[in-house]
Amino acid sequence: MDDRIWKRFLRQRLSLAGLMLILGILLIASVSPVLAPYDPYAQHWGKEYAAPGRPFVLGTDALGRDVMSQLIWGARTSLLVALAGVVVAGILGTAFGVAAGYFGGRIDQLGVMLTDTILTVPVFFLLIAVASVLAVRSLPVMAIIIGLIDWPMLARVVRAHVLSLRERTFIEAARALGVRDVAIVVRHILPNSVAPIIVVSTLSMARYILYEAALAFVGLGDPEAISWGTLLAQGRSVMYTAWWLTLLPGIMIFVTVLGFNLGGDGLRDACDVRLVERG
Amino acid sequence: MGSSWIRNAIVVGVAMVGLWALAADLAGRADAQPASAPKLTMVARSGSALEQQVALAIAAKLKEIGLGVEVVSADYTTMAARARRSALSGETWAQGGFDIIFFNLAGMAFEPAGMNRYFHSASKSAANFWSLADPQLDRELDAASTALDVPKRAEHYARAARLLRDDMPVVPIFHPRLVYALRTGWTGIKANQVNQSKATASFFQMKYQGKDAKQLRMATPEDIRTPNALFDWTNPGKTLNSMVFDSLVMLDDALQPAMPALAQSWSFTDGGKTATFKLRKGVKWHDGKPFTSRDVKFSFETRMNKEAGAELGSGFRMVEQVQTPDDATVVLKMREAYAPLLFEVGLTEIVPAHVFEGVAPKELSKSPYTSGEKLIPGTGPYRLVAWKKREQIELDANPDYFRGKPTVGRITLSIIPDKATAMASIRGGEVDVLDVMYELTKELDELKADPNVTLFVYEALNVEVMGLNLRHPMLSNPAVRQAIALAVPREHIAKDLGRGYLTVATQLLHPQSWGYAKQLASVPFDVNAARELLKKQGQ
Amino acid sequence: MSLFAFLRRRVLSAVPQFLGMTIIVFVILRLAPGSPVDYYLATNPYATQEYIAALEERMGLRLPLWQQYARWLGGIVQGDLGESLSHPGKPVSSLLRDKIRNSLILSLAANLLSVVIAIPVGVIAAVRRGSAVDGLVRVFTLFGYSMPSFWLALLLIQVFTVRLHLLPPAGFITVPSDAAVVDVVIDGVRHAILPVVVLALLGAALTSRMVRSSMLEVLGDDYIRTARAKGLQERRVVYGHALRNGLLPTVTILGLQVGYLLASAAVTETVFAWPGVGREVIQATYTRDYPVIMGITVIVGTTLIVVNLVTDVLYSWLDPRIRYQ
Repeated sequence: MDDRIWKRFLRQRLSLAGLMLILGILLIASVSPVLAPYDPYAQHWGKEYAAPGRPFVLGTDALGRDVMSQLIWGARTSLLVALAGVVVAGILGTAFGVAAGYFGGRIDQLGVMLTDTILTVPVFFLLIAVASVLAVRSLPVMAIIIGLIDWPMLARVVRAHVLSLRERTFIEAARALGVRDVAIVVRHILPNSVAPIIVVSTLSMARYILYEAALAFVGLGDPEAISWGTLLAQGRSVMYTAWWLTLLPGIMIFVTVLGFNLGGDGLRDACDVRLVERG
Repeated sequence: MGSSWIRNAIVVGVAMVGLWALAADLAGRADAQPASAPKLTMVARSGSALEQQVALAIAAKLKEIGLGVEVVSADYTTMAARARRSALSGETWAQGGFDIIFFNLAGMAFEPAGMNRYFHSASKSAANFWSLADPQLDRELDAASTALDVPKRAEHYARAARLLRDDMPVVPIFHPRLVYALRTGWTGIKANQVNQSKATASFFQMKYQGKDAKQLRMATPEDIRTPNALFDWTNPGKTLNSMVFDSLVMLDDALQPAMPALAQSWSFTDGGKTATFKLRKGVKWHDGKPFTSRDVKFSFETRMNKEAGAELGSGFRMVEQVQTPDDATVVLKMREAYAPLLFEVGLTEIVPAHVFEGVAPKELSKSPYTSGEKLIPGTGPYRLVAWKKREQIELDANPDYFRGKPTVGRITLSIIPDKATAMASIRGGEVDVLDVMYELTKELDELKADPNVTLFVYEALNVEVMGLNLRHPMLSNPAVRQAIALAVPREHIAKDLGRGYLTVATQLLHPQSWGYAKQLASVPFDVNAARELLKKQGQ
Repeated sequence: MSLFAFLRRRVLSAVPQFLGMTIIVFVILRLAPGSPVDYYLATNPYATQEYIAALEERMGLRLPLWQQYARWLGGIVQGDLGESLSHPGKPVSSLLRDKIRNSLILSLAANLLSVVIAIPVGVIAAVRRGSAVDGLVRVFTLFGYSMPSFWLALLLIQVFTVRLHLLPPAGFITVPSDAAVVDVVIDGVRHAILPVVVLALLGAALTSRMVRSSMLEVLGDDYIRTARAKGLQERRVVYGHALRNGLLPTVTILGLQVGYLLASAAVTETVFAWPGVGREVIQATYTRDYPVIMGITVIVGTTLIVVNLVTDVLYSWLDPRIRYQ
């Protein structure tokens, strides 16, 4: 990304805050083994539902597992699902968007029809349905499924962007010179579409984190994974006597999602990407 | 300029490190999927937080002794379907069955005859999910069923308990203690321990501040499947059945099937092979039609007919014929004397034959009285007046009830699946009673502190076990099963996870049952011994 | 293009969308491991092999996949969603009738309230662009759509039920079915307040944002500049001219909001025990009631298609330019 965008992005205090939040969470997630005071899976017998204090700074859960360590490892779970999901959605969305926007005609019609159709499927309902029938609900599988369902939004944005790029002189020139389509796409279209892809992906990650948390919250997550949503669900019925189990994971989810939303929003303004809200 | 360069470097650096770490983690997880070591999968109900916690606690110990295990949660349907597949063909988790499954064995902790259903080789493709086939055990169970005096039966069951401990097809974990939370002021609740939800008397004689009450509002986590007692053997179904229907005999305070209900008296002749029931006169169904022996015949025969697919078929295994010499007499002819017969009869609700007139057994499960399109009449203290699926069930007192007019005029059951919501509802006074099925543990600390809420606690005579698939290549080895049993931290589970609301189970029968084997030594919790035992097995 | 022609084209384009949606739902749920008859196997300990076979025959599970789809689709078109597995003999459509109504009540109230909040908020933010108020609105909107709905719900229950004892924590109508109509309505409203507020806040966050940007666009248009240049009062410029045109796109935003709220409704309904389709679908997953899961997903999907259709047509009627795009 060029320097002007950077400057515009950083001028916004909110965007900067978003960036800091994203980086902070990313940092926590990447060094969680070092940062976590305990093994998040370690069950401390007789210390179930310990209130925040010593030695468990943020208390323990129903099995006597340290909450702070779980919150730290939970960052990894959230980002993992979001990232893996966004990679899948990114590849599919970019491929379909570029194909539809660049080649136009039949391919475009087909692509638009496909994205329009998938967009009418209620994503979260479909996720619930899929999660309920999965034999094993492991994190990578969930992430891939989120990505497989949620790519059309990106495809739309990329398509619109590519449509406008196609009319630009340097592309037309390349075409006139007889450069092969694949080469044009790889050398010109893709590098110039990075901005909208990143903007949409950042905002998508915010959503995926919410999806993962919500699925875990209703009991459709991976039971062995350390997840904020699971922790929150666990704490619900003891909200009054073990408030730390609902309050803290909630804050983590909120702050992380907020970070991605602020960052994505700032980027959008800075790059001046128009998200096609409706087709 | 300089500072912006540093700033960019930091941003990019953190991002790279973070992404790299996450990618590495992801790759690690993907690698871990096709496990090199054989792995046992433990499956617990997704609806039960307690069961999942217990599973995770046990899994941690099993990992410690060197077994590769993972915990998965599954909905009730999936679990039951998998249990059945294992029972039929011995399939493991990977093949569509189960390796290790958590189960609540009900209906046998007091009357041990229920053990037949779970452990007799004759029920191998039914509820003997673990595929246990032990001729010695079968002999003990058969002898106990046909012997007619209690000490003799107890002896057989004690020997069966020893065989089960040594073979360990299922590992007993705990006996739940059940808790009803009530708004303070409600009294007269009386629980029936045999089956956690068989609580007829409890509501029917309740009072609020010493007076008869107009309405009792109860919250329950699950809806019934159908109000037709023939087809609902789930806990919520049993709760409703106990209010709407009656059986021929009732269990008394000593948990003996000795209290007359729809039958006024009964007698055994022909060496215990013929049972004659004299029915109570003047009982009417809620729709005004008279209750007769035809209803009893219909209720028993439908349960004996496999085509109908109704509940409790196996309890009537020994019954050959149901005769009705007149409107007020029912005679059961049996192949052999069957000691638990009265007990089974006590658990069998009588449903009205006249509403199912002309319906083939196969079609019964689709009758409008089963689907709830029409409301099925009963003879019980309460009459069903509305069933809003997954919302609310409403019952009105039956003023003509043969045991007297109920003290509570109306009972509403609100279906609130969410424990937290239910908690808020009782604390806020939105409901009067929380059902036992919420499995309250830690939450009780809070309810105890609330002066508006009173707790009613009693022992449930059922047992939570970990069932092992005996046809699994690893679990078919009895030493491995013993090692697993040694590694189950029962004390920890009862005390720390159950917050004192669970009691340790060392055998399948409850200590309060007459069949409990007092002399039998239990398997201790000994991780080192378990590890040694596994090592000796060479894996 | 005439409005009628546009309408026809738009309706025609909805048909493949509907078909595509049903195909996706069908394929995903049918290709999943496990069989729809598992439930019968699980809950009927005496089910014989023949019984299962007969059941599979009746449910059409032995037909080729495309025929199964055709049968299912044929049923849907006639309003028949199959038979519920967890309530034997119960058609899914009759099971869902009340739930759909309850979800509609919740959704309409929440959408209405969120528009009532969002329009003034969005307009003010646009008019005072760059001011502190605008910043505040931006923070509100970002907080709004970063807040997990279930967490917001829990916090509200904590405050309004447990601490203040003002509102019931959850449920729908808890008075007996023979209570007076007034009592039923009051009871229903009391139960509806918290879930409606949660959904409305989330919706308002999204919508006020879009109202703001569409107002900004209009405020930058030539005719507004002309009006200003002519010396019209700023007030009249904004509220007389810009508002009318700026709010036109709100119609389409509404379509988007409905979809967004539907997605949040699943979890919100669950937390508040509101007996709508969202809670129903999550409940159905606990027993793997396939016909119910599939039915609800299709119903929600169809709702989205219809809402989009209606808003498109409405918008093109209000603003004929769109038809020529």
